[in-house]
Amino acid sequence: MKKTIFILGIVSVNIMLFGALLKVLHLKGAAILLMISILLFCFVFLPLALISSYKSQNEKIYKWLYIVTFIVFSFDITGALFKILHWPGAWVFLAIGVPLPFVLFLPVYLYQTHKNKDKSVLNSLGIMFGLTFLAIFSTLLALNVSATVIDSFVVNSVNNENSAKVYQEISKKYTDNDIVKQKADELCAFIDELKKEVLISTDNILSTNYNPLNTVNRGGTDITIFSTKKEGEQSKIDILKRMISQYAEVISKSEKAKLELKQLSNTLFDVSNKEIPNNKEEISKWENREFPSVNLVIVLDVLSKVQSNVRFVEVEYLSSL
Amino acid sequence: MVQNSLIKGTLNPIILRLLSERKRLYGYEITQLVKEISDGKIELTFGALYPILHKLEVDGVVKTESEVINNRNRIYYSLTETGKNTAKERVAELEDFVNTLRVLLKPNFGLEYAIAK
Amino acid sequence: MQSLNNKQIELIISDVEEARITFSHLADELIDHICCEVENEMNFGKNFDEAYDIIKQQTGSRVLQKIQENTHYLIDINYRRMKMTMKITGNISLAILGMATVMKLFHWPFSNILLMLGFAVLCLIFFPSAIYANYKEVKIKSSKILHLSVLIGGILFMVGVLFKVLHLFGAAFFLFSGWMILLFIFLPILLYVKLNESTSMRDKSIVMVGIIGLIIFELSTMFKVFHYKGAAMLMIVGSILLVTIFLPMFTYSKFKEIGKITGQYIYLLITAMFFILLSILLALNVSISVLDVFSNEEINSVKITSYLDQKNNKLYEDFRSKTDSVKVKYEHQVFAIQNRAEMASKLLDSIEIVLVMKSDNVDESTAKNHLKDINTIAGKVTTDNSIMIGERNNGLANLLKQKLSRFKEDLRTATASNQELSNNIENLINTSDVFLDNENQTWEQFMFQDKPTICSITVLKDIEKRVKMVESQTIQYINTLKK
Repeated sequence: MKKTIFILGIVSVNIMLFGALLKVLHLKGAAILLMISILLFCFVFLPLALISSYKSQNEKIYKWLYIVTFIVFSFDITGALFKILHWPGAWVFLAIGVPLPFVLFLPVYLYQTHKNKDKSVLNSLGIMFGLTFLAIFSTLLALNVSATVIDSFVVNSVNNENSAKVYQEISKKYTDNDIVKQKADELCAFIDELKKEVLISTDNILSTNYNPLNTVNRGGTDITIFSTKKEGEQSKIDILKRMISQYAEVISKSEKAKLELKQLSNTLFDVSNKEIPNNKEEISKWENREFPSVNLVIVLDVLSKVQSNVRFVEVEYLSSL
Repeated sequence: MVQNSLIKGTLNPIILRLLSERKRLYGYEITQLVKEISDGKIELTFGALYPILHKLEVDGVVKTESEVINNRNRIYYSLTETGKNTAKERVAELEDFVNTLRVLLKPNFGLEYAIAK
Repeated sequence: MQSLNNKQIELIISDVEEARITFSHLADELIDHICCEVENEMNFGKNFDEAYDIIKQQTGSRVLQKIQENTHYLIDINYRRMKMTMKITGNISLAILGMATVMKLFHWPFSNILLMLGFAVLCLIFFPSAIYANYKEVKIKSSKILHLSVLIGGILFMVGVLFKVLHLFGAAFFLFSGWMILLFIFLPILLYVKLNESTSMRDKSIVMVGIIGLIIFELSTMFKVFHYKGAAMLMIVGSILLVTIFLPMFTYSKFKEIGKITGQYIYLLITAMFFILLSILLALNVSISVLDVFSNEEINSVKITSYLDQKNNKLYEDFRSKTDSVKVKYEHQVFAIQNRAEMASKLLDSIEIVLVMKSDNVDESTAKNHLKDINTIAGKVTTDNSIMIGERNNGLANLLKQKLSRFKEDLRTATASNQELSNNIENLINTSDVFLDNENQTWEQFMFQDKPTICSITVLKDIEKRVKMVESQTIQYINTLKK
């Protein structure tokens, strides 16, 4: 029996690990593995193991500790399952579950063991480090948002891509060879190339033009194309920044552009570094402001936004001639 | 068996007393002696004994010598010169305490107290 | 009087050595004492094995270590103080940290101060005292570097985590140096020490797998934090080494030794479980700073909208200053367009306000204030379909769709003569269904269903911009018309 319990514990933790790996790699079967392992662990292993351990004690003085251990940890682990699988009610579990180890388990543990001087320091050290680790992780989690937010950027991408396309069509109508038009075309072509590169690097098939609705690996992959820089070569982001600021300069120097348009273009294409309020040591760079994350869908969305801005300003300029 | 909580403070003088009676003793011997003399009523566990012995050694009350007996090291404890005085003091203190206790625990103590008043 | 032979004494010595008693002549005394006890039992006619079995129950290595600990405790005043500080500060800092975590989770004030306090107590008092106490207990060669490296590395690492959480400058530096010390000084020395200590091949391999797994796993978290390549691979290898190989090996050897399910085993598995669960939760999350992309786009739309507002006002003035028959012909259409555009803007504004009022649970004027900077919306990541989608699609999104189609109709009649322009209008104000992830979604679903508040507001601002765009294009076109 004890052997069965022992094996059960090891097996359920391992099923959990593989479920977790599948989940992180976005493979199928993660949910079922996670569910099995958690049900096995919380409702079979944990009660059996606790009862077996309790019965084998010579002095049965830790009754409450055992009960509280079961309640607190099965509650918390089940709550994590809810959160991971996006089941409704996860927040209730979290709101109650996160404080539980600290407000229920820790006091009971300390109260029940403080009388027993023979308990090794190692045990309490282990429990303390475990709980500290729990605190750090929960705080880190609080600073994050669910990755499903990433999917919302598809909407923005569709919108930006759409207005960029519409204004590009309008600009085609103007056939005169103006410097603004030239610069806008160059910039947009460069961004198109960038998008292609980004898409290829994330295993997207480029049979047709970029369509935000058809991109795969939307949130899973980080785009490193911006940070990789060869010796003596400008990074893509630096080239992009330079082209944007050149475009803004052409507009603001043009005699034909209206004052309002110049003002708009200066604010839309402001790629300068900014000071961060209350922090003199660091400056906020344009690329850090615009790309706080390098998820595929975000990078594409921001690039489309720049394109749409460029085309809009171009059309406004050309139509006022 | 005597309650552990009662023995707690008396171990120190008991060990010193034994050491001043016999020239030198080793740990196991001390536990056996206490058991014998107290007729098994007081049991000095080795878990309680050795920390006290080491504390006494660090304080300079006792000194140790090592001897190989039956293929193993045996550590003998004996009182130092200053230790002899300390032992006397501690034992006197304990005796004093026991006397006080005896007075406190006299059966008709309450009555005598009232008359004296 | 029985006395033990050499072989029997050797056996007892090796058992006592397992407890690693290092304090002056304590080990000799304990060996002698156990031998005496066994001899005593044997005098009552038992053989050595029976006698030692009885005595062993009272002299396990735990008990022996406890004696050494008590001896330390009685003699060394520093040790005693450290032990006390460790106990007290450990409990205090944990209580503070726990509280701060809860407060941080619910975005209550003062959580940062508490978090800092908890960390400070943990790093500066608890951690050093715990390591000092441990240092005093195990006296082994090279333990000085071992303890010093874990002390420095650990403190640097924890400060790094704290700075990271509080977004302070220098987090990367602290994290990196802490990691380096832990990974390349502490863990290798620990491996060396443990390998020397363990006697059997089995123990050696357990130690090997455990520490190497730990190094690989730590390396992967470092890679992840600093966005190096290969983090995922390392994490898979490290976690499989730790959970699938080390954990069963380690716990099985303990299980065989003790023969029952211990509390330690249960807690170890619970910790492993939490470790895996929290790791995926973190891996599945993205930094909250991605929300900046929404606010950037919102600001972008607002800028263009206000530019177009000005421009459109001028266009209307130009139209009114016309005197020819074009004005007469188009007057009521221009009026209708202006009216509808204004109504659309107003509707969009009020939808935004209602959204914020619902998600933040505030009144109208506070909601308006929050809208000035959408980062101040407390419930920016909450999703609430009741407003935009409603039951059976009777939410505001559907109303908006209807209003936009009506607006589009008006524009179409005014621009019927210009195919290009009406195409542009159709594309910019596009409320048709969308095909995403092999699923057909209505416009309302695609734009607003299950979207966080901050996303819906960005979309609404974008629609407002588009309304102004088509309005502008249409009036501009009408203004250019000749008789």
